[in-house]
Amino acid sequence: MSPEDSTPTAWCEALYDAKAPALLLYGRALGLDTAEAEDVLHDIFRALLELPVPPLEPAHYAIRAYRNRALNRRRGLWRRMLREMQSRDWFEAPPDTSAAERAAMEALTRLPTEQREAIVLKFWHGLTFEEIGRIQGVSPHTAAGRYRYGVAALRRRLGPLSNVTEFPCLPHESLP
Amino acid sequence: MNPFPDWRPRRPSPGLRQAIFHPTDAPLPGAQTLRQTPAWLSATLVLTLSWTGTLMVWFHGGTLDPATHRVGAASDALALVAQNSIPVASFAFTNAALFPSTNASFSGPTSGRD
Repeated sequence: MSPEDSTPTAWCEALYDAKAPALLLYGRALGLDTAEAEDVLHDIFRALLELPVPPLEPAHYAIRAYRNRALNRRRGLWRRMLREMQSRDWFEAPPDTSAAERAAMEALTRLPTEQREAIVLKFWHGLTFEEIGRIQGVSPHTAAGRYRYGVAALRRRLGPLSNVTEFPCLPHESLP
Repeated sequence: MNPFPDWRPRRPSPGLRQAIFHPTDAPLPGAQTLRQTPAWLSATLVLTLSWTGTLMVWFHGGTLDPATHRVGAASDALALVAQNSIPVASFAFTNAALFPSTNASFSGPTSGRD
């Protein structure tokens, strides 16, 4: 949907419908618990609605805005404990999810923040390493390195499982 | 390309979309949980222990919305009983976020009547 479509907020609602789950996942990757991730989602969309004109790249704008707000959240002990307890609910895992996949999901949540952020932005937001680097404030090479370290760590942690199940292949992507 | 196409990120809570895009409409239960303080939290919670050993819990003040109106009505009836009994001690708790200066006050023993 283009920014000119129908009502003045249609672009924003379309963005929400398309990106809200991935932004929540991004919030979890940045270290927020479920409630915090939803609070930030609410805040950035309310802020988007206040803009006089839609941003040129609404999806990228939302990712940046989400990151800025997420990193400003307080990080107390109780919040960290909550996040730890909620570390398994990043995805809507269907009942037939294999043990290997569940282990992979959990392994993803336990990666260092910058690595899982790079993986989530790559896989679930479809960004390039250059775009990820701009968001993280690092070079594309560093962003790619974080992604690769994260993927390698997932492979290491899932090594025994991935040999005996149909764990999906992780990508081998060339550096930019 | 996402190698985990079946890994679907969790969706937002029901009501969040409405809270964002239609905040002036009647709030859904989910939206209320997320964004609004329940009206009854502005009331003062009073615990009164009478000489007969009965512990009475009731609300005082605050604006009760329709959802909590029954609680309010029951509370009013109990308050009437409490105020006509002779209390040993009475504790009043007010939502600290709304009234920080009056949180968790203590009074008692009292005569039971103002």
